[in-house]
Amino acid sequence: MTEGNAAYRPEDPDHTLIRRMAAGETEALDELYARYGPGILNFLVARLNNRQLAEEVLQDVMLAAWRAAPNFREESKVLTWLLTIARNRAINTQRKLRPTLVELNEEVKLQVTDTGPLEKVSRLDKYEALREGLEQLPEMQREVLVLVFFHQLSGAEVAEMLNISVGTVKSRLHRAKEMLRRVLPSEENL
Amino acid sequence: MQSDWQDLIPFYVAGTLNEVDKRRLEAILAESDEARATLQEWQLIGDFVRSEAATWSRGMPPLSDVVRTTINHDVQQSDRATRPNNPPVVIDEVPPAEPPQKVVPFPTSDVHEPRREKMAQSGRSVRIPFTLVAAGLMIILFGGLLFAALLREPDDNLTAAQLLETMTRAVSSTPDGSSTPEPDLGILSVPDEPHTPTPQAEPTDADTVVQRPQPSWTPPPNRCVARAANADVNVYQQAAETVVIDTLPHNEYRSVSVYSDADGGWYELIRLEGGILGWVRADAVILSGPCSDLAAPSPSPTLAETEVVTAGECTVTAIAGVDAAIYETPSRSSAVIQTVADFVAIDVLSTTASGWYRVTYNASDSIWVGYMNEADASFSMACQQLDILPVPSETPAVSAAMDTSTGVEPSLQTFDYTGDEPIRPGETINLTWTAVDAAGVTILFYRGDVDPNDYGVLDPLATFGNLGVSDSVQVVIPQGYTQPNAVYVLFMDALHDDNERVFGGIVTVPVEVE
Repeated sequence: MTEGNAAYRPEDPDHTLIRRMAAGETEALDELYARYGPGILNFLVARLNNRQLAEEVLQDVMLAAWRAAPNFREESKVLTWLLTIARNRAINTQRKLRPTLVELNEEVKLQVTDTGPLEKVSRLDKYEALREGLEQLPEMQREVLVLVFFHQLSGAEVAEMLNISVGTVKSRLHRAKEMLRRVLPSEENL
Repeated sequence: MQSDWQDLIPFYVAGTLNEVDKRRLEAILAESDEARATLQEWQLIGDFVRSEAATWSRGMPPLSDVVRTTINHDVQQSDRATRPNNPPVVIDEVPPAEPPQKVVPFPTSDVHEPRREKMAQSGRSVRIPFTLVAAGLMIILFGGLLFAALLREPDDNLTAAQLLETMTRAVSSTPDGSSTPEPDLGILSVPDEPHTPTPQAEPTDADTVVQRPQPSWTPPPNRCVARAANADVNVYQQAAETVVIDTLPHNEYRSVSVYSDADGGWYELIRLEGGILGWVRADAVILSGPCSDLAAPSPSPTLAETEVVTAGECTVTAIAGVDAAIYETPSRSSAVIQTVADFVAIDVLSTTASGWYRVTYNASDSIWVGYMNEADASFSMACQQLDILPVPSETPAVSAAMDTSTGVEPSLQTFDYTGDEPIRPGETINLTWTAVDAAGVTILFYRGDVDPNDYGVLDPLATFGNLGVSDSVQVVIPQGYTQPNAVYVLFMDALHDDNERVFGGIVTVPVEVE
């Protein structure tokens, strides 16, 4: 039974942090920011592809978390809760900036470096190419890569956070890899 | 179609694969060159993403002054509303020897009780001689009365602190025997205004939170601004959604950016400091300023890529750049109830002969059932196999010949569900019903823990409207739903009164959650 399982669920120490915020402890917000701020920031950068904008939205996310703390139901990990807030705020921001982002999105097709004979490239070159490729990926693929590899969320957790199926998570990963593969000028591509 | 092991590799590289899949994959890796090559590819990507993402958060700024100011304000508001009128004041340190007139006078209330206790417990007596000297001077000044008091038989229980307070009280007494009025310590104050609640997660039906007096308010020129009509107004994450993210206080205003006519009218508000605040119902706010030419919102997230999503046997392919709107009815003139951002959770339920598809879309907190036009998206061949349903009739208009004054109450004959049990999140159930003497049916979806008294009062997780009086609808239990029960409440629209909604019945669906 679900309720029985809930009784045995180990206490998440992060939940205590949120309860302290709900009780009005401003220091708890500082702790939350120190603990999760960097992770949320790099997720926002992945989502918005703009560091300055991501920093602004990060502040908005922390304020939203502070105010939403009394309503946190402790049914999810604090990280995924914060990431969900961050994603919603990022989407709102993108809507406001839509004209610019539409242009970017229209240019989403990656430029394939089809420059003739393939050359051996160093790992540094690969990273440089991957960096360009990552920037050009659609935001929905880039965010899945960051959630899986940086935040180490499982497929089910990513699916729940993004409100998509696990199959879609996998297909986005697969597509991201295929697009990144195309930007690498090497004999083995990747 | 890629192999199962290909799906597992990225999670293997990330270290999030479960043990069973991990062992299975490692067995494949031991035998397959292709699998090992794919692993190398993912390792390069994984290493790169980790190192690259780590650089994005370097030099993270501190929490901004705006955030700090806001949360401190929240705390102050909360404190003011919760503190008692005469709270105890704890003074940890007694001031060092000071002139008597600077000693905090002993008030008539018990606010200094903690101080007295603390001194008694710690046995501090270093200031007694000084105080005694001061008291002695006062004794000389006030003569025999106080002197006699000191000469009386000592009380074994009288502590140094109590003695100090006795002296202090004597010093601060006025000649007529009344106490010196207690000065304002400036530490705590009596609440002078009502507590402003934090934004509520559950919006109320009236969309208001706290009634307040009418503010004196002057809208700024040259800007279209909105203020709450009568009380604090809930601010929603999206138009026509139920997720409350903030509150627009009654005595404040916000700039309005755009107007959406979806679901009866919504305004998108801008923060004073910039950035989107959220959406408010049009009927809950009053506009001022140049608001006559508000623009419609820009198409909500257009699709950046072509993505194929499988919905049962029917696949949906988004068309880049097309606004993927879900309409309330299969008509371009009907309201847009939701705009699909990712276009990845669309389930096609059925199709109509006129080029419309009935779909259900899992938004972040709601399920929307509506119609998409075939011109807005590309549907797979499998969708052609869907049953073609007649276009549902619009809510029957009351004909002139119909007697609208009879007041015949609609009634519900059946309301039930079917589904493959156990029913889990992500699975589909089929709701069927038969209503009599009704103009239409609306079904509200609530979490299992909602008090039945709140059905129809609290905003539901989703609303399925414009349904026929005898019909069925397929509903997907949302992914991530964690309640043991999902509740569907059916309301019927009365024939005789467009605004009257009559309670029909409830179906509780047991949901098995992990």
